Order: sequence, then structure tokens, then C-alpha cells
Amino acid sequence: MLSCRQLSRDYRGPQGPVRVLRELSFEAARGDMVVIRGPSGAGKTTLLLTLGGMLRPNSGSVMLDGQDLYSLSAADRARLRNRRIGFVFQLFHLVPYLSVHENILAGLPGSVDGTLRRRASGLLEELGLASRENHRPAALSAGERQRTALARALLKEPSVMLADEPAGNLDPANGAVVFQHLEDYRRKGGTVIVVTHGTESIPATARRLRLENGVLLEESVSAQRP
Amino acid sequence: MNVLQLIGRELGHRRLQAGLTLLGLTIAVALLTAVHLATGAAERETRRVMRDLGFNLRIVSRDTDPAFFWREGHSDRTLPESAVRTLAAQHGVFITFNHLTPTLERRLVIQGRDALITGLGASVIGPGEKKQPMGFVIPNGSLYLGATLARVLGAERGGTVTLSNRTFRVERVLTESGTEDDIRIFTSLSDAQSLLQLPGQISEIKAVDCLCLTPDQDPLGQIRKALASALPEATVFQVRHLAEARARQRRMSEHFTQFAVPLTLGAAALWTGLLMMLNVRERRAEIGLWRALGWGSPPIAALFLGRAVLLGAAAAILGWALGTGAALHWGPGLFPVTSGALAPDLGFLRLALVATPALAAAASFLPAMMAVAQDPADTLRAD
Repeated sequence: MLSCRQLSRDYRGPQGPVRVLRELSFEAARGDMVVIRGPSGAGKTTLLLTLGGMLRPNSGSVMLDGQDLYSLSAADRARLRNRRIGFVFQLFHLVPYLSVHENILAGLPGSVDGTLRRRASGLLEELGLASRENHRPAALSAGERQRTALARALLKEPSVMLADEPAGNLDPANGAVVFQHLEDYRRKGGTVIVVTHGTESIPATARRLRLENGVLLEESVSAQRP
Repeated sequence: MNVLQLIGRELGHRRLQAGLTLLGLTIAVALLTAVHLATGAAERETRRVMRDLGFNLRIVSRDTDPAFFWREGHSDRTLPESAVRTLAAQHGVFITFNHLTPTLERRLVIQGRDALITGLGASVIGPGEKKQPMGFVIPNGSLYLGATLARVLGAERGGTVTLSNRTFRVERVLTESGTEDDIRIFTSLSDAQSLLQLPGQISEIKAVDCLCLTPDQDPLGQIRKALASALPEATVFQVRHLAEARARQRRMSEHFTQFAVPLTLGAAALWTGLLMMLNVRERRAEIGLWRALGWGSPPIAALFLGRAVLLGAAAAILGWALGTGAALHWGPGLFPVTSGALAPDLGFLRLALVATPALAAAASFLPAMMAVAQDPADTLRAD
């Protein structure tokens, strides 16, 4: 389970500190998909990075399966992030000099055994990237890049998947494919937090929140939970 | 995938940037290698030129008549050979004098021809110094012949010449110099003492001054003062034009090295640092990604410092090969006298293999620390 309590985060602006997140609290259990919507600049990515242990809040806490992320040292937090949190970014953030297959494996530190290699190949197959295995990111379409990023996040079987505008740079069809894979992951018991400014392709099962003026507001709750 | 593999892939991906870094470091190593070899050659050349110019300090007995000395070219008085050891044993004597070489010189007649004979003893170059002795090192029973004298005696290299019923092997016939050396016989000091029946005696200690005094410091006055306390029975004459020529040669070589080495190292470090800074800036998103994937600071620093070390090692090998090639190609034109001694220096390659990666890593330290300190949220934040 991922939860946050009284989460606040300020940024230094030209006219003094700007409060982006104001004492936010929410929970996402295993098998939940939470979609947080809001206009550009609302602080959606800031919230996501804070939930992912990459941006220390000014106050409040983030708990992952009962562990307060920011009570850990930076190195321990990095290890925990590596094992249990998957990221998918709007701009894909693939390593330009690695092939698709290597990008997927790059999510794991150190040596990679045969099981993981087979699992990576399975993900490539599943996500329709098998024929692109040895291509560099520059040779891929936007949809293929995002699916590669998704495969990288899925490979380590994280307990939480954090997706920042995962369909933001994709056409509706590719956006729907990405959301479908996130939905599949959720069905298998994963927790998915998605921040986005659009409404397209959001699965009906997702719980929707809206981030406005640094505060989370409930939009709607799906009635159909498996 | 480990850090080394990632570095390899990244170098292959950003070939231009990697190539420019490699080029800068390679040029620096090549320059330093060439300068190193050239400096060695210049020193040998200087030593050879100085030997040809001769010693610029001539220490003789105090009783020497200066008029006779300058007219005949040597002193008719003698000093005990032990005077060299006495002088060399004085504290600080090598601050003022160098290459103390005992000689015995006289005029003589061979087969009805006027000639000069000079016996050369081993140079005393000071405690712990490893300089090659100036002048010739002539084995007993051998001699060097001046060009004119060899011609009139009909002597050739490898042949023999008889002096006072003793047969000497002609070790070498000297090139014609246009000086009195053309009628000179060079022998070992002991042979000359034996031939001239002056055992244990020398006519002069030839030496080279330290070149550390400027003209306004009255170098000759200081040299005489030093000698007066070290060897009171002797006096010294300075051959000034030789001293100045020698000083010019030495200063030219030293100034070039003092200027070229720091400039080259500084330029290479600056170039590497700037390109590495560019590399870090270009890879901000990648650094953010590694952070998001759970990388700590050490592997991220290793990604950049390792890159610098690898490029430095490659540049060391390439630069050494290029610099050595350049020195071997152009060296003989620049240093015609000692060009035969120009050779690849593997010791310098070993030094380059340590120093160049270290320089590249030091120059990349700041950019690498910037990469480590970079807030991943800044690059990953898209809204």
C-alpha cells in the first residue's frame, strides 16, 4: 500500500516560496489505480516524484507498505525505489545509446541472469516490441518508446507503478494501449498512480482525483472493481 | 549491464564528443612526449655542443704566469692530481663548479712535428650526480688524434702510433676543427703523466661553472672566492664567451620546458573539463533516470569519472605513439648531432598511462560532482 499524510511541498519562486502541495493525504491499496488529474503546473509531477521517494517534502510523510520513505537514508531509499517502485515518464527517458532490450534490463542493477532475460523477452513479446529488440530508441515511434519504458518498469515487478503523463506524447490509440497495460498490471495486484491532464483512455476502474491549488479533490470512484 | 559496459556504449554513441576529448588529450600527450624526447635530445645536444665548446673554467696553479698561459694555451706549472679530490671534497663546491676534469697538457715534438698532448682524467661530477662526464673518456693505451696531426703522421683509426717507445692504438681521428686541437693528441691522464714523466701531476683542472649567477652578481669574483677557500694553491680563469654560450643554451632549453609543460597540461585539463561539462549537461535526463531507477551517487560518479579515465588511457597510448613518431621523424632534422640517441621511451609511456587518466579524471571531477549533485526532479519534472 502507498499512502501519504499531510504532504506539503514548496518551491522557491521569484516572489518567495510557492506552495505546490498543501497537506495532501491519500491512500492507494494493492490493486488500485489512482488517476490524478490537473492542469499543467498544478504540481502533479512534483506529487509523483515525492511519492516515488525522489523529492523530499517540506512536511508530511510517504509510506510504502508501512515504511516511511523519507526516514530512510538516500542510499536505502534508492535501493527501495529500485526494488519496489516503477516509473513511467511522459518523455519516456530511455537511454539513447542502449537498445530496446538493454533499456528494459537497465532497470536492474548489476548482472542479469537468464530468467530475467527471458522475462524481458516475454515483456517485449507482450508489448509488441519483439521485432524492435535491438533497435535504439531513436529508431522507435513514440508509442514504442513508451511501451519500452513500460516494459522496463514492469520487469522488476514493482509493488507500485508511478506514471507521469504516460499517454501525454502518444496518439489516442497508443495511449489506450499503454493504459491497458497499466490496467493489466493493476489487475495482477499492482498499485498504479497516474498523473495526467487529460481524460482519454483512463480505465473505468480507476479512482480519479483532481489536484487543484495544491489540494486533492475526489472526482469519481469507479463502481466496477474486480 | 555494468558501468564499464555503459561507458563503452555511451562513448560509441557520442562519438564526436568522445573523439574531441580524446583528440585534446592525445595532442597533449603527444606534445609532452615529443617535448620530453626533444628535451632529452636537446640536453644531449647541449652537452655535446658544450663539450665541443670546451670547459669554461680553467683552474691552474697560482704560480702560473698568465702571459705564458694565454700564449701557450696551458700552464707550465703543475698541481698534484689529488687537488681534484681536495676540491671536490669541499662542502658546496659543486654549487659553483661542475665536471671537475684533471688534465695534463704540454707541447711536444713527434717525428719532427710540433704537437700538443692532453691527458684527460675522469670527470668528478659531484656526490650523487649522474651526469655523463664531459669530454672524452680515453682508455689507457689508446689515443685520439687531431685531424692535421693524423694526416701528417699517416695515422688512421684502428692503427697505431709510437710515442716515447710506447705504442698506442688510434681510437679515433677527430674531425678537423680549425683550432689547435687539430694538432693535439688526447690520451688518458695516466698515459700523459707517464709519457711526460710527471707522475701524479696535472697542469689544470678544467670545469664548468654552475650558470646560476647573473652578470651583475660578479660570477668570476664569486668563483675565485670559492676557489680561494677550497684550493688556495690554485687560481682560476674564466673563458667568458663559452660561459655565456653555455648559459644561453641551458636557459633556452629550461625556458621551453617550463613554458610548454604547464601550458599543455592546463590546456588539456581545461578542454577535457569543458567537454565533460557538456557531456553532463547533455545527459541530465539520463542522470535523472538512473536516479529514478535507484542508482546511488557512486555509480553515477563512476559513469563520468570512468569515462574520463578510459579516454585518458586511450589518449596516453595514442599520444605517446604520435609524439614518439613525431620526435623520431623530425628529431634528426632538429638535433642532427645526437639524433641517433632518439628512441621511444617506455618509461614515459608508463608515466603517461598513469598521469593522463589521472589528469582527465581530475579535470572531470567538477562535472562529475555536478552530475552527482543534480536534483533528478529538475529533469524528470515535465509539468
